[in-house]
Amino acid sequence: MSKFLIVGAGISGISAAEILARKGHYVEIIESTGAIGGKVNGYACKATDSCSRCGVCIANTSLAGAIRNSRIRTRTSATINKVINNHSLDVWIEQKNPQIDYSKCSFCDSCVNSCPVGCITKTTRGEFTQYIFDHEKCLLHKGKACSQCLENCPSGAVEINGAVSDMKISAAAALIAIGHENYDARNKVRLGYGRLENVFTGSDVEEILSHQDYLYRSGEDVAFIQCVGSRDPEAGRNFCSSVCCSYALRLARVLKYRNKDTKITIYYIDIQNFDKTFTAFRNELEGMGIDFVRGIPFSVERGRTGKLKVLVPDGGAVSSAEHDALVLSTGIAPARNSDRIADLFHLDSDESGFLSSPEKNIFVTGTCSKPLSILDSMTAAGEAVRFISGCGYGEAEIPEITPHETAFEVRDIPLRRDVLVIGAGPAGICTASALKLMGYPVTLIDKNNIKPEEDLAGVDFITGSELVSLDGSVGNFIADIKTPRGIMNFNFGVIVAATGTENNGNTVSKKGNIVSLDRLGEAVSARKRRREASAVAIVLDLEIDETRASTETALKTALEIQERERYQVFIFCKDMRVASPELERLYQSSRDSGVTIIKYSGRLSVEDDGSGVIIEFDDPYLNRRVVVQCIIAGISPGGIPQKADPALMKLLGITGDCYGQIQENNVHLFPAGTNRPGVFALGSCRGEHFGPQILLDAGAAARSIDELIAPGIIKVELSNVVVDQDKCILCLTCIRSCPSRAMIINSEKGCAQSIAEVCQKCGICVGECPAKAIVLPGYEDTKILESADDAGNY
Amino acid sequence: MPEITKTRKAVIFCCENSSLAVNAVKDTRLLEGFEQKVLPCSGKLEVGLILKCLEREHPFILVLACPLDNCKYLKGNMRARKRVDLANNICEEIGIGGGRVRMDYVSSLDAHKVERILKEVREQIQGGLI
Ligand SMILES: Cc1cc2nc3c(=O)[nH]c(=O)nc-3n(C[C@H](O)[C@H](O)[C@H](O)COP(=O)(O)OP(=O)(O)OC[C@H]3O[C@@H](n4cnc5c(N)ncnc54)[C@H](O)[C@@H]3O)c2cc1C
Repeated sequence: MSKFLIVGAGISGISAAEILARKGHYVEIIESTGAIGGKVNGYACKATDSCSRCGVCIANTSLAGAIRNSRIRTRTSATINKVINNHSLDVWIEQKNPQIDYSKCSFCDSCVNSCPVGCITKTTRGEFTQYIFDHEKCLLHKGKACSQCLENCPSGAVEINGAVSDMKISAAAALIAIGHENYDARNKVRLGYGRLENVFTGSDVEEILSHQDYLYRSGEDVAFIQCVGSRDPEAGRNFCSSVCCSYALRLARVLKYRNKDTKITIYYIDIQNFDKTFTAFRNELEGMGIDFVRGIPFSVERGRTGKLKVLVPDGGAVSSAEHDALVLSTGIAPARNSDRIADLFHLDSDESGFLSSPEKNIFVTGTCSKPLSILDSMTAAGEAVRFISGCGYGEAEIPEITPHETAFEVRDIPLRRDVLVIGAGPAGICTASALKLMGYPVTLIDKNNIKPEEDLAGVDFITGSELVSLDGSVGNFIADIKTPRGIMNFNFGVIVAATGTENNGNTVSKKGNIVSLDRLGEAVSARKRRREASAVAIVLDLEIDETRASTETALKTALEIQERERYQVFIFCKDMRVASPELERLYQSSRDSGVTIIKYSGRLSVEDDGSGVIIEFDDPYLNRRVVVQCIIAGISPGGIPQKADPALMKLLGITGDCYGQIQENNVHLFPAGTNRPGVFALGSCRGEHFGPQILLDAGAAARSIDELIAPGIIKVELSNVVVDQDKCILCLTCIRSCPSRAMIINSEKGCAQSIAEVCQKCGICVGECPAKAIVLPGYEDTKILESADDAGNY
Repeated sequence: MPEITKTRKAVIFCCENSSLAVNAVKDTRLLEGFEQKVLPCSGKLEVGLILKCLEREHPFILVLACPLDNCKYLKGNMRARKRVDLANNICEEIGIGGGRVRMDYVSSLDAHKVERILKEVREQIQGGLI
């Protein structure tokens, strides 16, 4: 058993703590403010009638679970004073009391009610409740010996040891997760923040919309200004904060939804693709009448009408517009005391202030390491834990699963530890090797006869093979695999789909001047070089918006061809997706080397006329249709919707999203899993093509699989749905409607039946069954209809 | 079916997630006159259950479900939507008025949205609009 120290109780620190605790470690979290949760506490749910996948609710659920864990101790209002990291890591801290041990707390509010000066505030958001102390008011901090909250707590959760207590914490390793501060919008004096009324920042708006429907009045005219303090070399911040487009577009959508009369404009440089259904999302926004204007206002003043007048560069000229309110989409800047923490823990800090650690027992994660969204922070925290565990800090105790009280029988269902990985691309290989390292028997199959470059020692790799049938359920899948040696039968506990997408070759022309982007380099080489410069086109965003992955490929290809003699590369795109510091640098160097970037709007057409290609598009700057002739064009597959193999999805019993990729649109609810327990998906078959992200996802998938199969059994509470044999008419409705594939036909009994370890107890089948043959225990109609008899009071 | 009187509480059917938003309603007076029935997923709600509540003289049924694409069970909320529409149609057909069942999508963090909905429903019942 080891103890770990985490600095910062934001979503990154808390997620890491939760994973460490689940592995059996003890964790101390030091939080400088009085509240747990970091920035996420102030964010709004950005759903309309449909979810926008902002991740705030998920973060809340995670926070709620973590603070109640008895292996995690969070110390709020605590400061680190000294760190000694020689043979062991010793950290001296100072904390303000009272403190609450949430693993004991029953959230009964006795502390709040007993406080004589009312210094304790209870905050509840979703599942997450915490108590926050106002030390200014607290009698303890006025030198009085008050301990009412402690005395009145029935569960011994309040701790007081003087007003301020010092302590030394010794830990095997530390994880720094001190997060970020918002870029200070006051630095941009001309944009008016802090100077003019009704100029807000993104985080102000998050806060406001988390408790009211509009910004300051209904029917307002609101404009968002993107990239305030991001992608701004003059401010020393030449990187994309990568979260602002996502929160701004989501906030805009909520504002518009809550009040149809709200007029919304978004001023931008490039809108970043932040989600796997991004194109549909952006189309929805445009359909709602939200105005996208390219160009960042450089001046804001109060106009004569009393409105805010903004000046925007417009081609070579300047145009002006008026709005009631402005939202400055400020990006991510270093945490306020980041320098102090860097000094204490000997961290390195890059030119933008992001931290990294050269020490082998100090790790850095979250937005203090680079710009990240909530979900990315959670994945990165998992990856950090994997590094920490990889450093061999003592064996963890396997935590005993304390069974929660239940009236139902609990059964142990044995689980196979064998894993099947389908698809030997980077995603599949990465997951297979990670699982192999964890000690699981792994079978990797691929339908093509490929030879992986990586050393796959220990993985049972069968090429030229395909899954042909699948039976059973989580822990005990029975698979038939067609191999070159004939059909073979296997048993697996878990299945991972990493099958990539069906390559869409439609865009490649017969005459040969339009090729797929990955072949552009060689296609250019195959041509005779002309004396004069030849124009080569790279066409992006053709049908859907490019991702970071395809942008990276496009920029690398462009740079490579541009550097050859006598070629001029043009990149045609709607927006440049550079939401990572490396991409911003790559973009910069390709422009420096002479690659020309042309941004178009609307539809672009590429025609192969036999001698070259003709590209036609609307130029938003020149405001007219433009025709460009090139010798050859490379089309990015990222700009065309890529489907996963529908036959395989059917075979695996998993559902897809609006693009036919694996996983539903609500992928955020199960980052690596699918609707079917025991089946996981990752890589481009579920819409992620960006190499670095695939590696992270593969690690995350391996971790979830490890957690599932490590115990060798699944503990199942037998409260799954029960089918009345006499009523069941075998109409198969339950089988079709079950989201997790838990229903099967019991041919002996002649009726449907649920599989205990798969059933999620949602009761959807109960609601759908036309014969009313299914009951969800605990939710019988009579029980639901039981009600207090007191009359409604109107 | 007996005539609807306002002798019983209005019923809120909600899934486990949206019930968190109901529980976080700050002004608890808004919840007076409402009775909350929590289902694991809104997809568990049956038309029969809605009709039975109306039959038992609960004057109004409010169904709260997760926003679309945010259902833990994928499409439970869409199923609930269909059943709410069906229940309203049936009510209309049998002559007790179609506006007695209302459905909204709220996430676990949307307590303020729940407050607004409760106010609207209360006004509707008090105003005798149903
Ligand atoms: C305006 C805005 C809106 C956003 N909206 C979204 C969104 O809708 N969806 C999304 O996915 N992402 C969003 N993001 C990104 C999101 O904020 C981050 O992904 C997330 O907050 C990162 O979590 P973290 O734990 O790394 O950092 P933080 O949330 O900043 O948490 C860090 C914690 O460390 C503590 N701390 C700092 N210094 C110390 C110290 N010296 N000692 C002890 N503790 C310390 C802090 O008090 C804080 O509690 C948004 C970002 C911005 C700027």
